[in-house]
Amino acid sequence: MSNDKTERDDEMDPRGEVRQERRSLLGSTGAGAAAAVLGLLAVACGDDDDVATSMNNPSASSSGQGGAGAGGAGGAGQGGAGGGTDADITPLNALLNAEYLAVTAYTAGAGLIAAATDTDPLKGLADVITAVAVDFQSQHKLHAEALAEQIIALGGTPLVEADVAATFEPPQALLDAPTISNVLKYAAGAERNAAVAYNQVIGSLEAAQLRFLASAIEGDETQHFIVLAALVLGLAGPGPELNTTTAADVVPQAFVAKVGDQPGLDSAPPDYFP
Amino acid sequence: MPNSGLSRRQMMARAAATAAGLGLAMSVTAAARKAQAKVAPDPDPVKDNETLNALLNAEYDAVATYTAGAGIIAADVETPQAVRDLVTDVAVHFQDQHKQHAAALAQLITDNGGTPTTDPETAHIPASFPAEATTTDVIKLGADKEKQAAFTYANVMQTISTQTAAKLVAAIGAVETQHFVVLYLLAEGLIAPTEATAANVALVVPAAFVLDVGGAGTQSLETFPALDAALTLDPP
Repeated sequence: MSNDKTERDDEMDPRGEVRQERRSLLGSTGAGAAAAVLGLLAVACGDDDDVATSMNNPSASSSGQGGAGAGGAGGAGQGGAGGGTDADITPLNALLNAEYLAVTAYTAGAGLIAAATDTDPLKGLADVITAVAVDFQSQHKLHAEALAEQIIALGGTPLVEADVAATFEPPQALLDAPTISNVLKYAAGAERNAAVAYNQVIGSLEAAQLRFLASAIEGDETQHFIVLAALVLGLAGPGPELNTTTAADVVPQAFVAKVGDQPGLDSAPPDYFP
Repeated sequence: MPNSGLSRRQMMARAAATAAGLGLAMSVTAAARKAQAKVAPDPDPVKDNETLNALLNAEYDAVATYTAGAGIIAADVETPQAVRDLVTDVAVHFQDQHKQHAAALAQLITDNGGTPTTDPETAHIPASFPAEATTTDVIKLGADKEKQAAFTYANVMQTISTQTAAKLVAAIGAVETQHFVVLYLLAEGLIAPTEATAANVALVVPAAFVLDVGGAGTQSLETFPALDAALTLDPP
């Protein structure tokens, strides 16, 4: 059952040093191109029939989440020029692009949460929300490492994280209203779009082992999505055991199944009824 | 995150230049793609049916488990009725999504020239499950089953040979993960229902598939206008 962690830290984040002017903050860290990767990933699917669907995904446009955007195109171009000959290198680099953008977006999101006004309705949960976001970000970093490893194994060249981060374009809607709720909505939409994109890429990857990797990551992104969506849509609230320490248990593994040295849900948490 | 030091205009120019090169890069890649790909294993829809039927069995087990769970919850008079009603509603919602998974798997098996396994309508309940189970026990049992389904769907991807089957398996497996995390978080006390939960149970895990799979009445994360609207950013 639950951990014996009693700390319930929902005080306002005191990190005043990150309270920059909002547009500057976004410009330097990038608040959310994660959704923009959807178009990129669709491009990377090559001849997959779902390209048009994902490029026109209404969620990307209706929620102000950027669409295919410049960042996505840049990443795909680098992926295509990655130096490898294996057909799976380009889609893997597209997924890597998505993960780097997600890492960037969560950094920016944490900054926006810290900079939220005292009147923000979710200000009291800022610390725990940030802790969850940081944990999700750490899982995206693990995804990126696993993807980069596969790209190298195929003879390709992984994208460079800093190059990807530099392509970020924050959505105007988030710039205009950088509330914690909007950060959560944006992140939920981005995770949703990433999951859809991963699934589409699975439909085009040639090697079964790579489809396995993508699937093990996709199932993690959907967990991120549902947690964020449930919170921001008011379908669930923080439970009595949720605090900044237990935030890392919210989505307990970065991969659904064991990938290399990284554990999956087949490793932990243990069954309640083995 | 590292600050690139680039201005917005510089970033846009860089992106545009890269995008211009994208067309050539992608066309070269597309042309080389099929010839150079390492396909392993060789596509074999008939062989895939063995795996798909195993997954179908797991879906039947999930459906039967939720039926059994609903009965246990109904008998758990120690738990407040409102809680039991809510957990039952969530369980029924998840069960309905498992039925949709089963239908999609059966359809693909048939399309592959195979015969879907029949539903034994029997839940596999572990011996360690308590005889006098509570509503919380049902939540935990559901979390166990969904977790096992989640990593099983991922693991079988290593042997699924066709892209069509892989796409469907991924579209289902990533929903089992959502079922798992919701039940797990409830069991661990990391999330709690709100006043809005009971009226919006269908949104708890809103789609039975990640991608559109073509079945009548199925909902996917890919095409979901109501979800688009719900996640639209609020104006200033």
